Amino acid sequence: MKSAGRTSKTVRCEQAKELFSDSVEHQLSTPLSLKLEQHLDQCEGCRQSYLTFERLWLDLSKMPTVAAPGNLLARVWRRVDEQAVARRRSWRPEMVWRGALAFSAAAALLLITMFSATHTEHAGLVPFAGLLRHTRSNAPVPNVQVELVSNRLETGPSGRVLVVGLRLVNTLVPERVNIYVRNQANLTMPPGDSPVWHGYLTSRSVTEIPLSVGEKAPNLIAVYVSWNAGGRLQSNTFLISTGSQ
Amino acid sequence: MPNRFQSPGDERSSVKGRNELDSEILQRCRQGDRDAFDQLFRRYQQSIYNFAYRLTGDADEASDITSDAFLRVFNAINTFRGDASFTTWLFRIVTNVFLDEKKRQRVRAHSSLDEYQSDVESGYERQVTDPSPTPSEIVESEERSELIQNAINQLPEYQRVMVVLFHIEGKSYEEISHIMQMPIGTVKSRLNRARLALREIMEPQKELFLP
Repeated sequence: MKSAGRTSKTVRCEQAKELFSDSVEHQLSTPLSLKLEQHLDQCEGCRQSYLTFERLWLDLSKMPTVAAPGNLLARVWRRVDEQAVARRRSWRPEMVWRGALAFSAAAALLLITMFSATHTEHAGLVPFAGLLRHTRSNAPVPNVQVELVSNRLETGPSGRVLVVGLRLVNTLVPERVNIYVRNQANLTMPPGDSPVWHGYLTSRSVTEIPLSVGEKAPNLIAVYVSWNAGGRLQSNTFLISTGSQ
Repeated sequence: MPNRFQSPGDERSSVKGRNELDSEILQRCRQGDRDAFDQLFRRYQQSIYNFAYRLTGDADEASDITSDAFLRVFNAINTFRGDASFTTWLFRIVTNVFLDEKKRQRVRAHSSLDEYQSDVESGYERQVTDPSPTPSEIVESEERSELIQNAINQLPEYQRVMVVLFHIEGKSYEEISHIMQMPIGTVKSRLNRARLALREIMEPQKELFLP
């Protein structure tokens, strides 16, 4: 008799617990709500469970928001850049091993096309490493530089393109920069004076930036690099000699 | 108690405006516009980090999960068709990153996949024991949050995701069903089981939760 009673109570307790969520959300029908209420009046264990359940529900919704660390965005962009470098590295052997035959078959045709349409030459730029400076104070941004590591002048059907390879020095954090080109008679400027290039530079890889020029490369190109660091615009201007006369 | 089956009209219009803005930014992201990605990341990084933190209970792990998730978004943005809202898609990605990471950790610890499945299905019967804080470590206001976070950490991963999505991120059953890709009925029953499991884990500290 005692055992049967205990079994009956256990079943009823389990059923009652199944109703806890709906009860807190006021989703129980009136008869079920009354049954639960009656059970909670008679069963001290379930009553305590219900009260802690209800309180836990309330406390969960009051859990404080944890602030995201400030470097999260830079970290994502770093991962993106690392991934791009890794892909480039993994692509080369694959290209050699899997595409060797197809590549050599296409090479002759490609070379003929390239020689007839495009000519590449060294632009003769003077390598530089310029300090980035705060716009207002003109003070250099500590330990961060932009370095020109490669350059070439490409001639194709759409005109001449100066390709400069830039990277950051002395920082692990990628920075988003805008590049403007100034003071050149033959330089094709985009309308509205928007940057001719914008994107991220890193210290881990060289970013090649194509700058469109006219029929003749100008002998002096002013490259203005700017970025927004912590709400402050930082910038510097570099004069690049192309060696043209 | 907030009723999640009703949402005020102004909230709905703000969600609509947000979705429209999202779709404009998403369009630019698809074209490879890094500025647009910046905007997207900035808009969601706080809520995603908080979600990840509540899933893991650890700041470093939360940072890893957040950056992994955004990397996946960056790589897969062109596959987002807009069948679900961007937020749903994003939270699904974070959930998958979290579950994948836990799976990897389990494999590293030489646990079998069968055990993992069993954990998922059996709910709170297979708890990983976690030492409870001693009474001397308890301080009133922060203490409850810590205890709850501690208890959340002991839930099986799927239950943990549901509890955090519903109770901390404020997602509706319907949104969770889209994120977890399971019927609403399953979400409700599993969530109910998860809450009971959580309450069970909190049982030793129940005096702190009684009026």
